[in-house]
Amino acid sequence: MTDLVNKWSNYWFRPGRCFDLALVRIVLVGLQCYLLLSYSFPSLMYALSLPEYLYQPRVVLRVLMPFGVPMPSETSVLVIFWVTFLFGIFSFFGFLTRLSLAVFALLNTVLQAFIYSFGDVHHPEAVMMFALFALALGPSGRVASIDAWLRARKQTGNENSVGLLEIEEPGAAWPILFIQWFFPLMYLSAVVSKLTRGGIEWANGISLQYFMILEAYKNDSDLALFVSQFHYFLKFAEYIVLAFQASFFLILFFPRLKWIYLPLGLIFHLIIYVTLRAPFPQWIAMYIVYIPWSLVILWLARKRVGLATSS
Amino acid sequence: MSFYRAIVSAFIGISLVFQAIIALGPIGGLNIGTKFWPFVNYAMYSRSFKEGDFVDYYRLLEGITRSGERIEIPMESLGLHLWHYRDLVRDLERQRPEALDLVLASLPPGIELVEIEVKSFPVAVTRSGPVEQGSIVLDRIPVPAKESSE
Repeated sequence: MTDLVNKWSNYWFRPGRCFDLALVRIVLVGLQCYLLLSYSFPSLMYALSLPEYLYQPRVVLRVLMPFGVPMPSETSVLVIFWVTFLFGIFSFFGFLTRLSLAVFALLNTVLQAFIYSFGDVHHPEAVMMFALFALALGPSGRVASIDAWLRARKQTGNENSVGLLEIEEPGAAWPILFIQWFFPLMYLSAVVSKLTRGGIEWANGISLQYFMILEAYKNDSDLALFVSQFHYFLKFAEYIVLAFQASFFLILFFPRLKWIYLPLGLIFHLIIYVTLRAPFPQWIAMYIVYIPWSLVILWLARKRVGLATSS
Repeated sequence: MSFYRAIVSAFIGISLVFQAIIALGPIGGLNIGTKFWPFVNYAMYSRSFKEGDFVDYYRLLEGITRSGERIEIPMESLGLHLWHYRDLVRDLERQRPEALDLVLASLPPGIELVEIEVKSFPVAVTRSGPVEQGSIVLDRIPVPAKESSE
């Protein structure tokens, strides 16, 4: 048992580069703040205009508010929205980072769950909620934050960013590892859903043609209509999708495969976006967790210094 | 193990195990869907289709007045997006009075309907692309007459 606990601790609580975690914080919180304004706000206003009989609070809301979840007023939703956004700004700049991220994660979950309490649920946002909670629990403001700047001022009297890329902490690796593990579960879920509903017959070419035609008529998409005519191309694409989703987990055990899977995934999500208009910006942004940015920057910097000294 | 590590371990363990159950559950017949959002299964675009299936992309409501005039009731007139319009049509077909009230409230004053038709515009999927099939009436929903106030 102790051996198992040690293995668990050694894996999840290995030292990690704080810069990598801070970068994930800045990118994901920045994106979520943008999505709050561009997507969540109009969605909230739309949700508030819907007939009350459609309102079925999601389980997560009922857990958070066990004494009942009445349809909120417009004022209360607006207050929650702007408080969320404010804590998003705090989280982005790393001010009271852990507290700000915790509030940001919790209120984002509440807002999104409210939007989804009218029967229509989509998939891009869920992983962002988990990522925000993981960032809140990790030392995400250890570097590249106002908190770090204030700490440095207290200690030395002036800003000190020497070694920013090399600072390590035992708690800095796990939030990134957690998101790295979450992604393969999402892709496995996608492939399991396809294979259990229709079997390998899903990859018959017609399935994707159906979704392209649906999109073409639903949203007047000329591109989807055009692509829907290429049966064999779509059949090939279906096999690629199944293979990609079924094998993405290999990236966890053979990290070098990321140089194949990440560009493929990027292309995959961009094609889905332009043809089926299904945006997954959170997923694309979260691919950054697979890149050891501090090492990449240090390597590039050393290479540059090497070039300069040799010339 | 410190308190912090215990909390983090619980977060990691519960999140990944529950997500794994939802992801792999369909193999054993366990379909949790999106009930426990943000724990969801990622079943988007997972239905399989065969040649000749119909894309039933859009159901349009059409009201019929006492004089036989037909009035389209598109989603825009109800202030709904496609998915909620689809839900409304479903609720109308299930005879939910709230859905009927919503439709009737969206009509211009003075218009009294006797029936609402649910129309579909199916498109067949073929290897060479879509083939439109024209419109068909899927359902007719009678509208109860208003009680006179006189």
